[in-house]
Amino acid sequence: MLFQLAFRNLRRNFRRSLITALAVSVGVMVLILSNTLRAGQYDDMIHSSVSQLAGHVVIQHPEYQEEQENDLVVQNRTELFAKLSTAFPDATVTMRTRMGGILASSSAPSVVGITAIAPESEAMVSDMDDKLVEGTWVIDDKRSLVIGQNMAKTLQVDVGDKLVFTTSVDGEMNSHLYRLTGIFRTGAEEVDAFVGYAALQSSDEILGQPNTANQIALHLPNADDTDAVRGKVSAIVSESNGVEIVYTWPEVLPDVLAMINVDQVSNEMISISLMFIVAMGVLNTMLMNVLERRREFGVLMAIGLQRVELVKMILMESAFLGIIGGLIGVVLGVLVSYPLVVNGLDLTEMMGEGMTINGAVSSTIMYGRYDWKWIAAYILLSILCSVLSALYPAWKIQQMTPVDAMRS
Amino acid sequence: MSNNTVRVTDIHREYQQGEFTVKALQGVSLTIEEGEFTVLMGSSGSGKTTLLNIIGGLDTPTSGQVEIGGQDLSNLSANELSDLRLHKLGFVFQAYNLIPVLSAFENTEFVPLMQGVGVAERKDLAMSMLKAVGLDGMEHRLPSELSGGQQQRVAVARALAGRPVLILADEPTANLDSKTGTELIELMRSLNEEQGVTFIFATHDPKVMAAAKRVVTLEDGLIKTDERR
Repeated sequence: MLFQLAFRNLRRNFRRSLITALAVSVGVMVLILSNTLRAGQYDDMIHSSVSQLAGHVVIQHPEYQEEQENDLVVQNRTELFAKLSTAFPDATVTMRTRMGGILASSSAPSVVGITAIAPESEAMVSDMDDKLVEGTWVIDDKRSLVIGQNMAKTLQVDVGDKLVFTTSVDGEMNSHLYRLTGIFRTGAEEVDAFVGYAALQSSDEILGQPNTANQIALHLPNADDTDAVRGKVSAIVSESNGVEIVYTWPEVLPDVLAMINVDQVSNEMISISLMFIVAMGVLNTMLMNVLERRREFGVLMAIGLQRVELVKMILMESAFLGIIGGLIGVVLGVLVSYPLVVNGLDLTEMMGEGMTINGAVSSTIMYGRYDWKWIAAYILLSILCSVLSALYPAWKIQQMTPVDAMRS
Repeated sequence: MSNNTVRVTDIHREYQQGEFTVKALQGVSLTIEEGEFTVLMGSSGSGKTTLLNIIGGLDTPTSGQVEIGGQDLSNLSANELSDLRLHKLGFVFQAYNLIPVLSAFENTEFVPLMQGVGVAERKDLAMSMLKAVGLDGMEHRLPSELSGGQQQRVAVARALAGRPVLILADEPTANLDSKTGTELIELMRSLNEEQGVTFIFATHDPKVMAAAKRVVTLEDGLIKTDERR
């Protein structure tokens, strides 16, 4: 009966109840919209950083993470590559060595960061090979080099031209001749102006460390398997090499997680503020409801209803508002976010074709992703906010005596 | 003293109104036996509503004692008082005070429902009470769809549906026209005769006074006369 009474009381002032529920709905809708966009953005940040800069499970020299020096390498890369490829047939294994130096053409020099790679597996995880505007992707040859379009302009080179890369190895200057295989354009200026890709054969020769790499990484079809795979990889590595350490991507890319965490905190602050405003709306309605019905509460108490039952009724009314508002909000939120999930938010005009986040190239078309766990949590949050905001009106009832209430 | 006798002993009730202390009751003692049909008469401010509220456990006396069936109300917690009102008392108010979102049937059914009476018995009880007050066929109407007289009948049906031993009625006829008022008094009187329910009225309606078996007149918070008929 209390349930029925609560429901009918809301229906009695239908317009007011509807407006309050809609205020809750709008709050939930905005939360879902913002969460969907962020979930997609975080996925993209993690995906691009993991695929371009690391892998889900990463093997590195123990000091490489701190020092980033060329001579801190993983030994026996060919054997490890083979073992890992056999042990994890669904995963892709990449190998990378990073070298910084000067790249010079016959016309001009440029600062460059070359990542020496295994071209085939790299192409499977990173989409840099899709960004080529001229020539082909890196081939398994010590002369092959792919650079960004801006650098090609600076150096005034085309595909097929010769380039000399100079770097310091153990205090000695070492030079290596490349021939330009391809030119890419990501749209992210710093990447297009400073990044190059070459085959590992070239770094073997330049650094004088054959069969090594700075980083060997496994890219898993499902990121949730990361921790499980790490253990197995550790076993393989300790059996083959011994000194290297097996990391998971959050350990290698702590900045990405830190950035996401900071963003999440600021997002939560905004969400809390928003729900606070919504709760004030519900409080206003419930307070009006209670003050208007003082006499009725007095009668209910007089005929024997205990105060605690009245409090329950008010909390129920408020919870109804939260449930109805929350459910409408979810429907609205999912509908409003749908174009973001399907077509994405195109920021190309504002931000160019690509942007770099922590050194990885991300698309400027941001796709949303429904995070159903959070969407469910928002319904609970709207109910919780509504119920909490009815506590003060409920307390007012608790203070009433039947005679005073009826006298009003 | 029968089981459900109402015994009021030396009741004082004082209110603070700004700087002034209003003495609503100044030492009222009264015993009302089971089955009586008693009217508390008196002009406005004589203290009759205050006395009725104190007997019903809706208000607390400044001093003095109220007993219903030997149970001292001052020893009861708020929840025990609620329980007493739910199971032993029925109220009829001047302004009907029905629950606006519930139909006549649901208003009548409300008290037995809270008492934990089963569905079938509750339905029979509510329907028979509505029939007793002449409202059968109108059970699905909301209070807003009923006239003042009809609403007050629902209020009486609600008060009776809880099978109370004592019904307290505060100016039940004040908002009714003369004919409807008379009908309502006759109805309550017959319920008193047939079912032995004790009635205590606070009123200055001469029609109610005419039907009373006992008339207690209050003046300035004191009993002036107590006349049995």
